[in-house]
Amino acid sequence: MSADADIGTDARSSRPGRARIVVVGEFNSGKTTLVNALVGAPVLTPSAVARTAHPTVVGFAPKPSLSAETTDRRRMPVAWDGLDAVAPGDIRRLHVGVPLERLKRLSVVDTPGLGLADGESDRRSLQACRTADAVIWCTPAMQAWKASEEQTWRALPERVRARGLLAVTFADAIASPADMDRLMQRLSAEAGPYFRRVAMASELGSLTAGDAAVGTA
Amino acid sequence: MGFEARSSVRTAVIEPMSLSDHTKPDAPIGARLEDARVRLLALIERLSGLLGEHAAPLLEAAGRQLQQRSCRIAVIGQIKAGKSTFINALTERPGFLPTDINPWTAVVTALHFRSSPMPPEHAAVFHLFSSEQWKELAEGGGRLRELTERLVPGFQPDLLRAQLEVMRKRAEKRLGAKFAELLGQCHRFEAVTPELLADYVSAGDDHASGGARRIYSDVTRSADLYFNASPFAYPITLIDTPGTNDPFLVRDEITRRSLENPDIYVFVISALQPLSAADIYMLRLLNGLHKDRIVVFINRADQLPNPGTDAAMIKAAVEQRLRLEFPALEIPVVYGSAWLGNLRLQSDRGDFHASLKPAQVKVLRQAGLPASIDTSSHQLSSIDRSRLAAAMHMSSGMREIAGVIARLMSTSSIAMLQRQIAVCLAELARSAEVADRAELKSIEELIEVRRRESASLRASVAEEQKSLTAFEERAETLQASFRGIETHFKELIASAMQMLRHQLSTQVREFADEQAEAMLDALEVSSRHRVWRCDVLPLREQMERTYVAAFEQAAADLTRVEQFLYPQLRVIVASLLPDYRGTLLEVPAWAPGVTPSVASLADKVAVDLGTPWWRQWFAVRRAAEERADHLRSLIEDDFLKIADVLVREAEGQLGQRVDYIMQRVNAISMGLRTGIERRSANLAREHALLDGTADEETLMRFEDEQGRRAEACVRKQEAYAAALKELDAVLEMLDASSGEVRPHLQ
Ligand SMILES: Nc1nc2c(ncn2[C@@H]2O[C@H](COP(=O)(O)OP(=O)(O)OP(=O)(O)O)[C@@H](O)[C@H]2O)c(=O)[nH]1
Ligand SMILES: Nc1nc2c(ncn2[C@@H]2O[C@H](COP(=O)(O)OP(=O)(O)OP(=O)(O)O)[C@@H](O)[C@H]2O)c(=O)[nH]1
Ligand SMILES: [Mg+2]
Ligand SMILES: [Mg+2]
Repeated sequence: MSADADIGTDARSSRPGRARIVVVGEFNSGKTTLVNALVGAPVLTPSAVARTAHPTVVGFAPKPSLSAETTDRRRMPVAWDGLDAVAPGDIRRLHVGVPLERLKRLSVVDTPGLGLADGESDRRSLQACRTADAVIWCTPAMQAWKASEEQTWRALPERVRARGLLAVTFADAIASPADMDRLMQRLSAEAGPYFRRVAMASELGSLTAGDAAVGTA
Repeated sequence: MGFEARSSVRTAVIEPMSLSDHTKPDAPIGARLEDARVRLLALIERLSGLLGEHAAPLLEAAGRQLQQRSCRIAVIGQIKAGKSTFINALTERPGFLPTDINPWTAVVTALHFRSSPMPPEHAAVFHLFSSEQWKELAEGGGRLRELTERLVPGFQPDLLRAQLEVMRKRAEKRLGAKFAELLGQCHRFEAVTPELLADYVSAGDDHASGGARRIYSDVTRSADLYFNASPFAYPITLIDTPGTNDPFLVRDEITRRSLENPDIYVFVISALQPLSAADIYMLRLLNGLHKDRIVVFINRADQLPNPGTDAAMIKAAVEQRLRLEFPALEIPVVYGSAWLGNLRLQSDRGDFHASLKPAQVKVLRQAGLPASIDTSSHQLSSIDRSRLAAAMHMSSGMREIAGVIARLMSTSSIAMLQRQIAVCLAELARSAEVADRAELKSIEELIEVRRRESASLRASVAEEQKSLTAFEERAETLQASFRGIETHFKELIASAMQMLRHQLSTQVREFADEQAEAMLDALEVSSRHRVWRCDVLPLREQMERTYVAAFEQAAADLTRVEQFLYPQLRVIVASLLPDYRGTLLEVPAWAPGVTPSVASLADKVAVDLGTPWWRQWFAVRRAAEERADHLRSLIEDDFLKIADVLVREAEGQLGQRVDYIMQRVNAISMGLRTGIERRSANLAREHALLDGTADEETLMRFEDEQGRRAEACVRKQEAYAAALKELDAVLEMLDASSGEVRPHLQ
């Protein structure tokens, strides 16, 4: 099974004791921004126009590095601006290495956004959730928790959902704290039952490996 | 790249707007249509004084249509796209419709705008569900439940059940245990207040402390609000709809049902998540409904991190995606911010600009806000505020979208209707003019003859008598042939529709068979059959093509037969006025390209249900063959019903067309006949004079009368000529404004 193989190579043998957080959600929901916040450094580039193209694992490395893992499980160093030269179908995911203490206990995975009518890409992103110790679903405050999100999330196995966290992004776009309260109330009522926790993304920046690992306990 | 309003209709060329443009007010939406409407109504008034009784029913019907036909604009999109906010900005009523952070609009709300000195009798009318409708919705889950039931017998999704239970409990909590007694009621109010809208239209909070007010929105079926002070020139009905992609499935269903009637759809999407799969799905449905009446508004541009550069790029990406998905369509795309559109209307508040962020101010500068105006100062002078408001108006995209809506209106079926009425009036006027001219000629001839030699008068009278009799005979034959043609029309429609029904049902059956086969194959290859889903889009597309082709063919056949009527009418005209060289009956009666609604093709069918339903369906243990049979019957049941609705729709439309043709042709021939009848009466008196013992005085009186008659004919002819000139001008205007938008469509 490929899911087990994933855990074998990454989570268990090559990086023992390291928790993995996977960030998913519909496109432009602030996933990449949240990944940076979780890592504690602007490692990836968020954009309202350009999309995250590949699942991207941000983990520890003694020196900053970037490599592409191909579908036949080979890894090769690449440069951000050299990515286009690799045929997109060949890349399974990207690995970004950063010399940050925090990442010795934690790796964070950014994923391509869901809901762009590209079924194959959606499948790849959701697949990444299966190997996670914690899964964070990003939903933007201005247009939070739509039927399409609920459907996709509920279609994931119970085992994955039990490690799920609903993160409300773009909270700064909501001017009124009272509005934000009412939104959180609705989300707790409507989405709460499907997640371990509902929180504002801004509260998650300090999420520790320990917190994330609770998902596996 | 600025954030300024730019041309979005790819075929139209609009010069870039400069700052000096904002000070020049735009023509209000629908100005040209309104102009045409008013002129046509005046013409009807004028013509009904000139034309005989025979034309009255036709004129009345045309007048009624012109009076009643408003332009319906539906604003649709996913939850929280900003639809209600958009309507508030477009109608220049900031804060009128309630908006919120949570899904809020719960009822399809029609805002009827019509400039009129008379206040409407009621400003707000709310229809509550009838008890049957409520029962169907709340207890049965309506169509949704029915579909689910059929897909997986005996299975009711927990989700739907839970939601319906929530809805019923909520209604009970809000309205009391006896809320069922309210059902079927219609509540009318003389004024619209924010509280009223909150009670009837907004979803409301469950948690909020209830207070004394009763919230009816759960049991409200529709809301109609009437305004007699309109920001638009033409009567417009704006329709606010509950957002789609709402996890509360019931609301999605309510919106879907309101999609059928509108002339124009404004599809609001968010710049922060432009054109998701859910949006594309929705556009596909609309594409089935009304081919080219959609405009996309990319809202919330003000919330982009770099509104100036990002918005233009997003617009380009959206346009590219739309071209890819709908190559045959030209969907205009406009970006902006409904929020700014509301804000600019509140410039009477000294600090209305307080919430602007630096990135937004930058965009306003690009839209022409002078650097001298310091937006960080707490209070601005009224001059500065109005300049700021002008820049906001520009950046909001509201000006541009108003322009696009106006252009779509000028090619809508309203413009087509007006054109048709204008052509019809012109033909009536021309035929009356012909009869009139013939009458004048005969009067003049007789007067002339009588003056010269009374001997030949008898011969002339006999001549006139003969030609009138000949005309009567011809008219008689013509009338009979009209009846024959009408029968022929009806037969033509019947056989075309029979054929269409056969074609559609064959397609459905073949498709169902293929799908059943495909599923069996998939099951054989892999036991992981959960991945297999039936996609009925190809069937929908195939049916639509067949349907439209059949309709057009039948319409073309009708037109062919119709063309056959005109030479006959022209023969009559020629017998009246051999030297007539006018253009009577040369314009085809029907503007081409009107196709009936294919709305029913967009109906949700069982196999459209989402993945969870399919999983349930496969979870039920069944033999492969049995499963295939079930799938086949699911497809056939739904789509054969749809085929039936389609055929009836086409039948109705073609029937209407025939009624219209016959009504017109009859009116024209009647018009010619009344002229003849006047001449016959005239002739009878001439006879009496010839045969009897008319004294000098009687003769004088007769001649006087003849003279007055002749004069009346001349005056009428002038009036007809003037009416025809005006009609030409109206037609020219209608053609000119519709030509602007899609010069190269078809
Ligand atoms: N104001 C505000 N902007 C945000 C926030 N999060 C993200 N953004 C902006 O929204 C845009 C999209 O953010 P990303 O983090 O790239 O979103 P994503 O989910 O990774 O997008 P895809 O990779 O395309 O699926 C960027 O321009 C971000 O700067 C937030 O919390 N507040
Ligand atoms: N910043 C910004 N906020 C907006 C804009 N348009 C709407 N909003 C805000 O977004 C929220 C939702 O707007 P609504 O108009 O209620 O959205 P809707 O599409 O009608 O929502 P439903 O009726 O629930 O489907 C409100 O708080 C609005 O003030 C915009 O262009 N910019
Ligand atoms: Mg991203
Ligand atoms: Mg709304």
